[in-house]
Amino acid sequence: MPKDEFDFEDPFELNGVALMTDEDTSLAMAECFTEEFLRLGYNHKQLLAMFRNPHYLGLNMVLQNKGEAFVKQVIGDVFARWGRDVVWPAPSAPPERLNLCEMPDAFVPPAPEPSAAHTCTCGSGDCGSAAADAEARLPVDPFGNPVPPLHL
Amino acid sequence: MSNVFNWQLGREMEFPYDAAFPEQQFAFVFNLNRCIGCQSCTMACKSTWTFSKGQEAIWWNNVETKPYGGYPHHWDVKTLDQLEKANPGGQTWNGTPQDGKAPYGQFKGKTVFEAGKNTISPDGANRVLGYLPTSEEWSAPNRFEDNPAGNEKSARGQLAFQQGETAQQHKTWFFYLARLCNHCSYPACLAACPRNAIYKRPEDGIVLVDQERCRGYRKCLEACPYKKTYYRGTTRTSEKCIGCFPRVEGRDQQGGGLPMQTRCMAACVGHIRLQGLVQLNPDGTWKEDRYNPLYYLIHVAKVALPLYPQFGTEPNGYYIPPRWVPRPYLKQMFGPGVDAAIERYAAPDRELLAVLQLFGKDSRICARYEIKEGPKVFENEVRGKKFALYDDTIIGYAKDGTKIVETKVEEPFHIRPSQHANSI
Repeated sequence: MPKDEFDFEDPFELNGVALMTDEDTSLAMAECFTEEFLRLGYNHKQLLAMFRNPHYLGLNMVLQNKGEAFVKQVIGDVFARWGRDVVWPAPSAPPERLNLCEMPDAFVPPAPEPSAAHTCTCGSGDCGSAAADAEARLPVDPFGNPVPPLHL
Repeated sequence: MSNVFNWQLGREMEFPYDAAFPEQQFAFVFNLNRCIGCQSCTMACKSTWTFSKGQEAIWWNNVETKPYGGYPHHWDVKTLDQLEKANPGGQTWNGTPQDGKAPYGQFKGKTVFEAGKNTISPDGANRVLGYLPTSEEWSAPNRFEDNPAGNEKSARGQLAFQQGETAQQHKTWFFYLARLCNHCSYPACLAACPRNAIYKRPEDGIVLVDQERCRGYRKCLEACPYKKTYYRGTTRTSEKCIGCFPRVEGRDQQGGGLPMQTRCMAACVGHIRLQGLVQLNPDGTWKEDRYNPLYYLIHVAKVALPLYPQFGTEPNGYYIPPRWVPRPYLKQMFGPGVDAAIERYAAPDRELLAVLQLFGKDSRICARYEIKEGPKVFENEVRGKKFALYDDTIIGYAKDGTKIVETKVEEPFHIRPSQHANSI
């Protein structure tokens, strides 16, 4: 249990405090959320997926402003502090646009059924590329597992 | 005016009525470090209590984005400004801390009651300093905040927020502040009501509006510094959070007869909320109840602090401050205990780490906890302080001794298998 007490000698001005809007608290916020979700049992890949998800505005703001390398460093540092080693997968080409479907519970549009209007790209007409295209459009979770479509 | 003792201010203050305290007091702690602004709490409350005609602008629970958001708009800035004008430069704290009686030192400024008696409205002298928000300020609970912008109507099975990620970004720090009625020990709404329609229940301290007595004068809306009472045009009466009292009384079937936490607490997906009942001394201070999780967080670990204690209503909602936010802003919002609270929270000790695991684990009210020591997982240094993680087990008990929670510090994480990803 903490025993120290705060200093009461300095009176605090409790009104009219100006907002320090230019203060960059990205590191502290990224560290805090990483630690909180680590405590809830998230792993480093799930955390990175949260940073990439634009609907988690605070985390995504850090990723947009500071870059993914910074975020990975923060995650690695916090995990190390909590006695966990982090190994990131080998770097691959970054996606052109951040994918909303990166969280396992994200809403994803169902892949369209292959139709007769599909044009075979190889010219043979029965190469199965329509089915392959449909499969390629299926979303995957952060671990590469296919996520079944929602039927709303 | 009577003199009553406000332990959050560490001194006596003026209040229109004599002090009277309930047997137990409804109280809650929110961990703002975890809130992701999902609004599950807001919708749980809305869909339970305020879904009817005339209640469109009534949000007993809301989550606002600080520092730029608020509902009604600018509620806190306006009240702080009124207090500053009433007591220029005088809203300060000092004094010596004293456990239980003055844990944050002593507030030297003026409360809404003390500042109110010097102001005159068209109806005469005010009992409480306040203002009546305009209809415009009640119009939208999250306007100009950071919710994604949706398209007009999504096609069946399509993403509803196609362009949400392109909404304009606020170029500053922010955090989410979840709020509901604080069921204050000295409610300003109650103090201001000319009809004595507002009362505090003796069994649990929940503050209610008697709909039979209320005539809709809106004095409570004007007085509550947290702006947590609402006017309903269809009934011409005021309404406010009822603390889900049937659940707190143990009358929700889901609880099997045990007192349950409110709907907003139980619905929190981020596990930021813990609500319970605390025992009071005859003078209104908290009776020592060492293993009640709320008593521990507020009076022992001192990581949870009241919201704007300087208003003087002795709110019973407490917050673990977000640790990345500039301190002067937090000190204005939560008082002088901020530095110590964040220091303790950022490098939590063994007991605190275990108690934090109780948040969101069960919807029944935990009256007492017990910790069974587990093995040491590792030792390290966190922000210059020695830190050791132990895989302790924390057990929570209901008021009657029923075991309701048993969980470990190293909590297992379960991933729903892909074939059941969409099932509930």
